[in-house]
Amino acid sequence: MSEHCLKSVACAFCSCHCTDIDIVIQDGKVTRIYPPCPVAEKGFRVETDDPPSHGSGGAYASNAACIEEIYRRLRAARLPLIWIGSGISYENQRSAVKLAKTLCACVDTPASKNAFGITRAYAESGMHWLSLGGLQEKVDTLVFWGCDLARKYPRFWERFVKNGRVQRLVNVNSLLPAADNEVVLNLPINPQLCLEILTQLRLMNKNQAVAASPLLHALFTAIHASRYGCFIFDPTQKACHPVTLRQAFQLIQEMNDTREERWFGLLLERGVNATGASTALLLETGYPGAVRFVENSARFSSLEWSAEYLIDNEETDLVVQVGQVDSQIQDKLIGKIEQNPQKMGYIVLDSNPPVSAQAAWLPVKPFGLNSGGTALRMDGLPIPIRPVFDSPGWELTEALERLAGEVSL
Amino acid sequence: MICLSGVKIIDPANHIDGDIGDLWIEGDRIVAAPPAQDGAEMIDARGWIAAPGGIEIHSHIAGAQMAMARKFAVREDRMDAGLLLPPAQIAQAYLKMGYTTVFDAAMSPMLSRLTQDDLKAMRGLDCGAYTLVSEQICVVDAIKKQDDQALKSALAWLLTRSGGYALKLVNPGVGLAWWMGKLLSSLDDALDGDRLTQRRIILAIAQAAKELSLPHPIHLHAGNLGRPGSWQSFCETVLALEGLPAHLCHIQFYCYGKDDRGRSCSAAEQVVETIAMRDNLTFDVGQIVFGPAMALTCDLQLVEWLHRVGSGKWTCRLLEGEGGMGLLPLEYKIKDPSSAVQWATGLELLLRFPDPTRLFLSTDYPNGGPFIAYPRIISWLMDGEARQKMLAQVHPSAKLRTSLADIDRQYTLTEVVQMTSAGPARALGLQDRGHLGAGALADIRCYQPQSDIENMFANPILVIKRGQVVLRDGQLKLPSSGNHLSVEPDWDKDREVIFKEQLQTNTTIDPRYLGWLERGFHENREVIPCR
Repeated sequence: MSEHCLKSVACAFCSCHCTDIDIVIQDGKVTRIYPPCPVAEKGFRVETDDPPSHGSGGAYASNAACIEEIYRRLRAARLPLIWIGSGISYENQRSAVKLAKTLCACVDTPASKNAFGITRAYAESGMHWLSLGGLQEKVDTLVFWGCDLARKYPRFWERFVKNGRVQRLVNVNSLLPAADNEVVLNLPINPQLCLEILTQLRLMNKNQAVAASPLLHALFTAIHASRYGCFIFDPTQKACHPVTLRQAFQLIQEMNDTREERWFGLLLERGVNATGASTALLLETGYPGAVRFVENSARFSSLEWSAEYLIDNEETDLVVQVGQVDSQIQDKLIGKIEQNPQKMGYIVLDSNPPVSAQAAWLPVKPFGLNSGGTALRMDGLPIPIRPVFDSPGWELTEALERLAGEVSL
Repeated sequence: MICLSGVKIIDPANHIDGDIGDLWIEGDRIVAAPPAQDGAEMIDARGWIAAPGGIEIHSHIAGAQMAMARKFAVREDRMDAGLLLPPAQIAQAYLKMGYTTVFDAAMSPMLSRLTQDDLKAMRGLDCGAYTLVSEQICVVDAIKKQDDQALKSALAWLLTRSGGYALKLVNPGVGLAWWMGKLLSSLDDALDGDRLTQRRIILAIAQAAKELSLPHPIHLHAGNLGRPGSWQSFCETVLALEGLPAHLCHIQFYCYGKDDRGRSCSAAEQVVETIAMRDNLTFDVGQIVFGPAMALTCDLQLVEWLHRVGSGKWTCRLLEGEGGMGLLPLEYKIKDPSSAVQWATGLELLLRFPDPTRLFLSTDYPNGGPFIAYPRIISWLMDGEARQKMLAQVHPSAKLRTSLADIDRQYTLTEVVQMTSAGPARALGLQDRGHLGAGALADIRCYQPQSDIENMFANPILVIKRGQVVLRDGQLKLPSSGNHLSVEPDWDKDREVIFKEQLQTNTTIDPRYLGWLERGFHENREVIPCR
């Protein structure tokens, strides 16, 4: 049994994109990783399942036959939806948008559900962002606002908080690692009250009298005891609804305008989008989500062309899923397809097999394991991901290029 | 082989000013008339004007800051579409105006992978980008230690690894000062205990760029941009360069004095007096146009100041080891006194400056407005009547606080070609562009002469990029890809370990995973030699 260790591997599986993971490979499988991280273990498939089989896509004899079938379905489609998910490289996300453009299709990402609301909050209020290095190097007060670090970003604490300059920690409805309970202030706020709390903080910042609770006064005092501070938001959590975020962004702006200290924000925005699909969509089209291409030009409507809306209302007749997507909407889609497979086609370009037998599946090498590319970290820094080991099979890039080539002919 | 026959040639670099002749193209180059002309595609170009393809020396078109700007400009149902275009549309808009080579004015090394990706998406254009260096740890460290060799290597390393074309300095030291809560207001403000000043940073990098023989010298965004009285500190910066070559960008924004009521007024005349005779320097104007714009810059102090004086929303992003970038939406309004003074000052500067081979057209897109406004700006320069008509429409302060109304000069077609093509090519060290001589790259734009100057420049009748017809009769046909222009200066490779260690100490990214340190990323890479 051959066993070898790879040092300092980059992890593609959450948006921390740690680059200090050591992994042990035995007989083509990852058997151990260090430091331990449940997200990375799942991503590297540590002793869980076999790498996906390549060369035979579902019921198809070969990948070429599968491509042919996909092409046939694409050609016949009236309004295809290219549904770009996570678990693929940023380059492939951009290529998938280009495919949508060639097809005059709709295109959406799982992140766009939140992206538009957040982007609007940002566009209306402005914001001061900080990269993780700045957070580690400068920030003395951290406010975790509705963040699920313990489950979704297990190593965030250890990498960016523990070794930094943080003196004060405020926990507003966040799940932080229990082992390092250095939190100076715990505020278990009902997520529905977050907007109100932020409004009160804004008023207090303007020196207006507010009948606030002692806990809120303590929060205000902790915030203003700092030189550099940073709020960390997880927009997938209820406490970070876009309307709440807008209020938070305004608070940060106002604190910077009226006080000596400098405040920043950081969004753990890629919970369902570990590699940055919403950014890829924005760069290619100028819009943060749900776009329809009409004669080379992108039209934007966050509702009308979203994957959820198109599937719910059966307005698309072919869904092309590229990467991993929102499971709830995927379930809806599968329900529709099972009911009437003639009405809506389903193509999956992913390393994981589709749940529906009706789907045409082109298995591609899993990103971060057998395939490389760029991933965007939560602060937007591009991290190159390299394949851990080689395997036969198709790269997603190759499949997308082949399809785009066929379609443009 | 293609031949444009009977065309009126405007090729100021080769001293050809309206001669009628044939232009022969073979492959991607212009060639001398061949002895045998069988099989050539003859294009009847009688009555047309041919000029070398336009070269954009300063525009913010790519990378993370543009992505941020697009997010910042998002609206309920549409983007601010005319201003912030996606990369592919930017390329198309430039090609439709006859521009064939474009440079992005500020590329963060840390985020250069994203910039390169955007540039790659600009099909049909040859692109390059200027690497931001003035806040880089390895650069600042070498300047502090007065280690010239280390500085040269650091600069060359940053350029080579990020795929940059030139060194960009943005109000040097502003990032350091911003973190310290200091206001950087003069060249000699101390930035830390090591007596580091902006003057030292500019001089050291300008000298190093010269010694590295880069094709384009330092590309400098000076301090105190936009403030009343900025012309004095700008002229001090010019003098501080001590004869070293440099390109100073968007200089309209520095041409401001104060009138007796403390309001901004044009100081274009004073600035021109200082800079006109300094042949070591080139400039671009940063002309504003009325309508929406976006302040997009790494000069955090500037954006924060604009926010404070205008109370508009703003946003910034700080990057480990590099400084940061800021954004603030703007609107230049025709009836707003400040906008009117800025508009008139830019034109005054262009019309007063005697040498169009050293002062180039730009809007500092998107800071001064969209680049698609170039034809309109050109019409104001070439047609005194159109200019006066516009001047009559804008706020009267343009007449009262600038001397644009008194200037009669009108640009000639040759001067327009100098400021949009021949001049930038020379300033960028691109020897095979900006002219139509044998051996030049076949980047050509052709116009049908007409009295409507704006329409003529907005709608070339033919555009050829690298020997391929990409636009004819308004129809765009994109070539597969453009080249990525970059440089590879010599440097001491042994120092890379030190630079990487500095990064490792000061950032959260393992240098092995800095995308920009990886080679093989650039496709169609064209290395312009350092001579």
